[in-house]
Amino acid sequence: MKIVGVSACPTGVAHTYMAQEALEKEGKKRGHEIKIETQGSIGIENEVTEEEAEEADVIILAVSVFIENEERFEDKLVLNADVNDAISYPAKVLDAAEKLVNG
Amino acid sequence: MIDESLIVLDSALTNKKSIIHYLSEKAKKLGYLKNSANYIEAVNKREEEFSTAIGYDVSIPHGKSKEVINPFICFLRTNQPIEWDTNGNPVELVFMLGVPEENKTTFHLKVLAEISKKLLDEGFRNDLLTGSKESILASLYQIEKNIGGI
Repeated sequence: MKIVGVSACPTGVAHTYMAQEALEKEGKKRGHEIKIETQGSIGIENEVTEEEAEEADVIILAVSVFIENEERFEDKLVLNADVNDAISYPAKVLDAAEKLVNG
Repeated sequence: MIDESLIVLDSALTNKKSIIHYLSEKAKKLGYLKNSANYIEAVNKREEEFSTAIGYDVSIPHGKSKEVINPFICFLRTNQPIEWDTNGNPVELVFMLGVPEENKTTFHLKVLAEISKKLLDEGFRNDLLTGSKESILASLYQIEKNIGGI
């Protein structure tokens, strides 16, 4: 399935990027197409376009702060996940995302 | 930013507070910090919001503060797993990051982000758990080099 999302944490120095890495790793391992945008201290990187958001089966928001351009994901299936969970238990987060899609 | 003097192996310190304090004083002595007390406060505040133990025996305490003159990264390996927080997360590898309030460039942030990502790699963690100071230093410099200068 196609998954996109955003990771962001308060300081935006470490957790944001670890969450991205953990989710993308786990997603690819499961054969999904996955892209996680980071909104950290460097700014927005690996940006998810409107089109990619539109095409995605599910959105994962691993965020603990307000993020920019959340309106991209309006009317989409959105899984809200804890940043720390995304890092420590990416399998759990992906399970939940798959469940959301498959019902 | 990566500094041999900020790499401490097989430390006998057994709790978060003393480790943060010890590393901060070291950073101050080396001229990375103006006032260590204020920096320590920023780091502890971040820990209170949420523990930076992220599993995998790793914690990454960090502080963004105007007390940081130059960005730095400390690495401390304990000689036995310690309890980092009240959740009972065991920790053996501590990366403490210092980030200035004002960023003139994003280079150091990219290096810190890359090191953070690499911590999810089991091979990299094993090197940190068993490696010598020289080999750990070499892999940190390699990461910095891969980011590719300012």
